[in-house]
Amino acid sequence: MIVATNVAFVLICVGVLSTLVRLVIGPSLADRIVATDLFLTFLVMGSAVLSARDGRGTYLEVMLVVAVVGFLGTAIVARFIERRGA
Amino acid sequence: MISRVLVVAWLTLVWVLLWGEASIGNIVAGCALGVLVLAVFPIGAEHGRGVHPLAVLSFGWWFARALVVANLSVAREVLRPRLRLSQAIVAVPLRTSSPIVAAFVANAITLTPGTLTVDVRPVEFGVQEHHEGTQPPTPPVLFVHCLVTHDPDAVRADGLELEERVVRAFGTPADRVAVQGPAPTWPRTGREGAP
Amino acid sequence: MSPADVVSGILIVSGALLGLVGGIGVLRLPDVFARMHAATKPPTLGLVLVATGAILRVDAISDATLLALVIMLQFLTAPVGAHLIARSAHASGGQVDPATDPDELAEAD
Repeated sequence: MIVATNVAFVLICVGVLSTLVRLVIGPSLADRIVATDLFLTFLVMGSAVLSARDGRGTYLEVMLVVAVVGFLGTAIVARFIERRGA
Repeated sequence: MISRVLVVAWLTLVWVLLWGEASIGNIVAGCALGVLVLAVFPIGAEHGRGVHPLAVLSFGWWFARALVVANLSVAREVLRPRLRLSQAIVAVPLRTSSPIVAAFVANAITLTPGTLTVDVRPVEFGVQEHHEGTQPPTPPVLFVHCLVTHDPDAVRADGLELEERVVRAFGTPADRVAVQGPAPTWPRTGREGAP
Repeated sequence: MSPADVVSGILIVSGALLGLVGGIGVLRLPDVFARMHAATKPPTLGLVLVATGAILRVDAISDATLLALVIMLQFLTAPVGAHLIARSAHASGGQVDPATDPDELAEAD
């Protein structure tokens, strides 16, 4: 079990690094918000893996809030792009 | 009325799941909050009419299978050493005009990998109540971005098949009649789909 | 290791793999729409798998229900978020890969 969660954490870290690269490269705001959304999804995934590792849901409420706020942020930035251009 | 009760029951369930234990206090609080939310955001009379539970289950099952299969195909496309994409934005004219059906179809299209709903024209559709004797509202056109496009007409046919499944699960009687009609063609003769 | 642990381990690793596919896709693909495909769908399924694996492992029922809620929430919000960004990106123009053909939405305006 520990091995599986370690492997999962490594995979998630590589994924997060690629989203960070895209966040820096861009080139447009839409690219960056897509990368941010994916980053938050990785965050939620990571805390789920953590709760599987420990058997206790320490960070699960945080995870729920991150998911909701992440979506809210994506929607707001989408509106902004529509009005002002990327 | 029944749809409002169902919505309050659903909100109570979500509240109880959040707290994790089905104690009396949680259930009562859930109901109270559900009623409050419904008072602040009322749902229309059209909402939820025509939902067939069995068809919903079969739609859910079909959708879950399609989701898994298609996710694997998108993973294969992404991991290919040399990318072979042929992107396109295809117009999929629907046959029904209800917002709920269009929302479900758009979401289902976005969730099945390879396709992504980009926009809907006209922007406001099906909002006005359909009165007897007036022109029926024109069905919307979904614009779908595809990652690997073999044939735009095949994409349109897939979209219409999806719409039919959604209508079987969620559609009002008017929708079920409308979905039997012939497949709309694109581009429309005369205008190009803009409102 | 009980069978539940083995199943949970498999689910978690496959979910993380799908998430990684999303990360790679966001880096490799040519334009913003293709990146959106990669960034929303495989990670959504990956999150569902990971959360299911976690449900099998968590001790308290309240945690399991929270994970179930997260799965539901992800299904509801991910496609809508992708669609909103796609619409705004297309409306603001300029991020479409020139190889996109036909672009019937641009023609329809």
